[in-house]
Amino acid sequence: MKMRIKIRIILWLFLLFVTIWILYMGLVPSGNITYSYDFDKNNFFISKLSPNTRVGEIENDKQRIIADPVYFSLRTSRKFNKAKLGIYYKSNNTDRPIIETGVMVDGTIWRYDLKPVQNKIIDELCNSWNIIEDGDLLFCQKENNFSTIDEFLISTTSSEKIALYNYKLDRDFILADYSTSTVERIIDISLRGAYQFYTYIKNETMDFEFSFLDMNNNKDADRIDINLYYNDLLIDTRHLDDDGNNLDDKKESELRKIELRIPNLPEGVYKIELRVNDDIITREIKSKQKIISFINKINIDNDGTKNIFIYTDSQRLEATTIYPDNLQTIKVGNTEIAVSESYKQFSSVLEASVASSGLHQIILEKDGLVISGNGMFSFSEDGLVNPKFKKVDENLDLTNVKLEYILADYKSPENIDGWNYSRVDIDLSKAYREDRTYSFILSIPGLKIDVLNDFIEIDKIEIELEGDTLFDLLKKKFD
Amino acid sequence: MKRIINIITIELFYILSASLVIFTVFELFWPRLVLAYININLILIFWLIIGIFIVVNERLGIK
Repeated sequence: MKMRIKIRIILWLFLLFVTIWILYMGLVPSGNITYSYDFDKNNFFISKLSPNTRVGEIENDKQRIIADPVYFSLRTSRKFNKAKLGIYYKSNNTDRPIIETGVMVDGTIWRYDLKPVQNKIIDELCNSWNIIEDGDLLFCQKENNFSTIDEFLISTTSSEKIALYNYKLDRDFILADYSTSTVERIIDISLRGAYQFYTYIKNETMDFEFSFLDMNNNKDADRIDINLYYNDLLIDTRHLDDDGNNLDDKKESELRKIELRIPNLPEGVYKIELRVNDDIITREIKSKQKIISFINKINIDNDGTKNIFIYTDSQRLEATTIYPDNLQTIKVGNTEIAVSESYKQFSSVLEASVASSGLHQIILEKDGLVISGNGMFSFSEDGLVNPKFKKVDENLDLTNVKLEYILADYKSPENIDGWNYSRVDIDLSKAYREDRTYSFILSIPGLKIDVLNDFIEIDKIEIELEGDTLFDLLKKKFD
Repeated sequence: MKRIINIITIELFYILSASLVIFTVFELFWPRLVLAYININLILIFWLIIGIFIVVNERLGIK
């Protein structure tokens, strides 16, 4: 054979091999592939941790996280259903008890589905309590009252004695002394962007009327979606398209309304979620429901309202403003929080409330603040309920003698060569994927840049992906 | 020896041209499939250098 032909055959076979290999790596026919990033050089699949202000320089193939939260992304050639995210880390000079990670599940409101990496509170508390483990479920009890987790689950143990972590306990939340009201309540404090709140229905029609303004500050189309959930299941939705102006000309839209009137709902707690971007202002909420408890956060818009009263059961309060004119001192009982700089979060742990309801009254001099915490917020004292179980996090009151049981879907980290190793199972089937990229968060609540100079050091991130096989994908396509 | 080098460079040029076409088409229809593993810019530079080498070589041969 001529030499030219030999060389040609070799080169074309090489190109054929490379092409098939690239297609194989892209299609992942088996459905399983692992990517890892050990911080030695840039990785195409797993990005660096960001933002730069919350992480240290990469030194000796390790990176420090110095403030919470940080993000990284995973580029994949195709969709996957599950990820096993392994993190090798060290907690240096920090007593931050919680580390969590998760994938973005909602790109509009940047919601992440968080899963535990480390919970030192459970590790330490369960060390001295009685432990029952069943798969990934961990049950700790102060006294040895239950011999199995199932026995505990079917019991009618008071919710005050229970704290949960990464576990949803299915129990109906019923307010024994609730009475319906025919008085229309109006929240006329403007709220910016997305929010979620609980309401309670008992032999009454759910009756809400929301009034919205589109501020057109950014170019995106500003859709408005209202979702109604019962026992975490979506049962109804309302939708408004963009106001027709998808420019960033800052022209306010006309006031537009969405009504949510649903009769004959069974008694219980309902969650209402507003999914919008920050261009949308809720100008007014009219309702006949007595209970309107905002979950964890309220973003009060800057429209000149003064002396705002908010009630909360939160034990920790955080406040931020982006408006220099709205710097102020927030009063909560004897506690004062000075919001003295814009774009900076100020926080305080609240002293136990002396009010009979056990709630704190927050007094704001002016609006234009984002108020957040680990509890509920309401604009009326009788409008607040918290149907959630206590969560085992840094805000859990460990001096509470009533706490007797902890139920968690959690596994303590292993120690491998001096590094803590946690493997977290993440559901990617409902994850938000944009530009072939999944977004992840690493959250260490309370970690911030301060005099303590504490940090978490990351040695390696390993992501094991599981998805449909090529055969399954083809079957789905042609079915 | 010169003949062998000529054959290799010409065959390399063909294969790199084909690679560029295949990889570009892949990238058009399946973004980042190739870029995840191969730097197409480097292939393009290599292809250009070989192309220039062939042209220069042919010109010298004619002279």
